[in-house]
Amino acid sequence: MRRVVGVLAALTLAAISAKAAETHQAIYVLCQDAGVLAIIDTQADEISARIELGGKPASFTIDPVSGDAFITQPETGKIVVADLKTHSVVRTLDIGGQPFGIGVDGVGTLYVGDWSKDRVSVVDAKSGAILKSIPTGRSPAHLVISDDASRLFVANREADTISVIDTHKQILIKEIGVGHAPFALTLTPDQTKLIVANAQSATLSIIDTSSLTVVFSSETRKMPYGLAVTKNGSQFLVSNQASGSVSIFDANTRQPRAEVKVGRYPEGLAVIQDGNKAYVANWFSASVSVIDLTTNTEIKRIATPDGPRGVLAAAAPR
Amino acid sequence: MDFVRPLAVSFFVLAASFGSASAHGPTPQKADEKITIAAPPAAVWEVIKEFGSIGDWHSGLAKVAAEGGNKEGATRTLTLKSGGDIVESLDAYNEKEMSIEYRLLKENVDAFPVSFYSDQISVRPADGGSEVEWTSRFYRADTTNEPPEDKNDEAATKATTDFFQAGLAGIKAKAEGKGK
Repeated sequence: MRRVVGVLAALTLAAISAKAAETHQAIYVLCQDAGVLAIIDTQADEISARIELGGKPASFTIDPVSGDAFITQPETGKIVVADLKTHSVVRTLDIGGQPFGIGVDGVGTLYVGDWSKDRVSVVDAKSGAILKSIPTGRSPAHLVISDDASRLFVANREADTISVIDTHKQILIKEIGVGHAPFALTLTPDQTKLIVANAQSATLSIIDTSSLTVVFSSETRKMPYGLAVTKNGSQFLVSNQASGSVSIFDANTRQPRAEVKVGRYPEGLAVIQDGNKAYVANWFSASVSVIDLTTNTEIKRIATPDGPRGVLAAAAPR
Repeated sequence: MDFVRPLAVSFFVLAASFGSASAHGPTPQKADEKITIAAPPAAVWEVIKEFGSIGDWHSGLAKVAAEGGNKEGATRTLTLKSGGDIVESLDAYNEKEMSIEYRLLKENVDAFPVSFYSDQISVRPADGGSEVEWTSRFYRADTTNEPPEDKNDEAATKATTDFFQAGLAGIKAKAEGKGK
């Protein structure tokens, strides 16, 4: 009996790894100064394509359904929509204001923070029509939507809070105090915890997404600006802008287990599910560092267009 | 590696007392200034390594009030010769790499037209002497989409570059034995 189970397990594992190989991920790097979205092939670890966006794009999200990227341009009040299969800009949504953080719910609705108007706009991803505005705290930075699209979490950089929004009712349900200047935030894969990096206080806040309370806080390296969690949820990574490094935390103990030196002023980072690698944008150095998470070492530095800030992992276009 | 410790309440007290030290726009700017010096790196590092000693070598400062030595979180209040105070705080002091990282803690955009910066100054060997590099990641004074001329990206870049160049010239003069 045990042998049968073993064989079944082996077959299942083989099936899973075959599937993983089919759906390998690309890394998308938004380069603000160059106005380019660069695509990194994660098997060769080289830039395989670049999409010219123009302007000074600040932040982006990828709709897993349509395969489109939505990129904010705070200085023009626009959202640029890029088709990741054809590598072309397909339309521009003129929503006004200073759009910065952006998320998409998978059914064609965008949530876009406005840096100076302290609100999140609910935007039709096709037409660009603003369907509703929901007030947030001061200077909404990055935002994240839960996998089931029921909750939106917004980091209010100047208010030192996280706004929690019910996306069905489209109302604010709670504002949670965190450290000083929350900027990046991410949900764990099981969606039970929200991790927040507070840039100015150099602290992490972990929020329970059911009770909506801070359940853990700790100090971290100075100027934490980017966050990512591994797909199995066992580790989370923090980019440290002041020390030019990435800290790798054990998600269970919430203690750092390694610190990896990268380029200068690192910001956005992402982890791919197939290959156990992390990618971090070195804003000042105009490069992306590739970190091997089995050895916790930097294995490659890839030159990018100027000003790389945002990094996302998503299905590679075919 | 003990950098994760229980959260210190003092962070929030400190942060709150300085209010919005970080009115922060969406497009960061960059400055990168270097100077070569005919003195060994250790001698150059000796000139700059005390976070509070910037007034000894920067010609643009009328007065510096420092607290906390070279510990993380130490502060220095710079009184500019052109008028006005800004406060900086130390993020990292690295003796081995001869490098200091610090940030703007309390801005004064009328005196220095930058709303937030995160800077690094470091010394390395070069051509038998040394090179000092001073870098900044900063945001203009007015981070809305229509900044006036004296508070835009160009004004912030000029102020930062001028400040760095004056400082680097001062370090060179002092390290080469010609300074004040």
